[in-house]
Amino acid sequence: MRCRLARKQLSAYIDDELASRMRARIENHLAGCPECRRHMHDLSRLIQSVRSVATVEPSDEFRSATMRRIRAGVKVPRTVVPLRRRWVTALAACCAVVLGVAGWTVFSANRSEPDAIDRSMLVEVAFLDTLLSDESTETLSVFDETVLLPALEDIQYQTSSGAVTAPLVGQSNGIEEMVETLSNAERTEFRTVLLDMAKEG
Amino acid sequence: MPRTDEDSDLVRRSKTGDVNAFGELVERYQSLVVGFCYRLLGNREDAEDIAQETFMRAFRAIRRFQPRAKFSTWLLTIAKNLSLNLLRDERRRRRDVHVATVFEEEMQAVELVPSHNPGPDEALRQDERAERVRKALFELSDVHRSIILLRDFEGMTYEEIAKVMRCRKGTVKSRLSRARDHLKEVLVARGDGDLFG
Repeated sequence: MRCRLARKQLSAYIDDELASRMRARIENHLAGCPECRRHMHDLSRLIQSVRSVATVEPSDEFRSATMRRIRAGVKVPRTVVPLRRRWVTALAACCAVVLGVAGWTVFSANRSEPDAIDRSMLVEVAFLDTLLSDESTETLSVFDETVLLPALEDIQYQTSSGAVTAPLVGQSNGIEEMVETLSNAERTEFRTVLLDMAKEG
Repeated sequence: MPRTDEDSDLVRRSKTGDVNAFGELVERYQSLVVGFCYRLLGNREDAEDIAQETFMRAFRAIRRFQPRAKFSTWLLTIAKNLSLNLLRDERRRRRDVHVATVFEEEMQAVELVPSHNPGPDEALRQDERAERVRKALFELSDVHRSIILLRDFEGMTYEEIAKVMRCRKGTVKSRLSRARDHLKEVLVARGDGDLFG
């Protein structure tokens, strides 16, 4: 094993996350390579240093303040219908500008209505704003894997540069993978299209 | 320490709208979530705000929580996403200011809580070393900082980190390796190579 390959594995070796075969190869390499042993020693010390960084405990009022906000949220009914309409409009418009609409049709026809909290949640996720922005493709699926992905995973989108996103039917990470296929400029363009549609709705 | 075997009953009750049951989950995981947000964001006020928002969103979405995942992992997924969104927004607002400088200034005002009670000299030395590491962590990308925090502070397995980061286990492995290498480079560049070498 070369040092370069061994060093790429050292982090996982220290974390005990290597398969037994690779682990044995690393140990064999380390036994004969003082440079990599030093590298591993440095890495171990680095991890210890990171673990020494202090943290804070929640303030005394944290729990009560949190529960007050949660109870307030439960008591106050949300006016979700207009938001829901906007959301549906955004999705429907989105589907109109892309090639595949089958998934959306199925979604609209067969999906049972989410409850009030779910509906406001869909909007709060700020799908249009976060999904297509840098570093945030994870946000959507945290909140609504079951609702949004089935609606969106059939979507293909053609950018002005002519690039067409791959069809995503049946892929578990559909929307995330779709977004990842877009360049930053294309994300911006796609986002603008969607936002315009949402505003019109 | 949170006990996951008791979580499922509290989660089940929370799904029926039982706010008191959810309150017990807040009690159980508040240190985890606030601590994680603090390490990611660098100041207590933002950490508690984001932690509150995390619990609120978790409560509202709890009916969609799948029992196959650990509740704590799910909470940290939400907390991580909200924290990164906040950092991104902050960056947009302060586009002309180097983010590390901003965090350094904020961190100077934060009270540190040592993990144990060593003697005064030793404690000072440890605090000073920890502070240097913490500053270096804020020079990493948000993704690299997140992944180091999830592993080295929260003690998550690569499998659990993959769920939080929404990526494959192999990606966790390579990203974590790169993140640690980058942290070493940052420490060396800051003249803090003694922290590991």
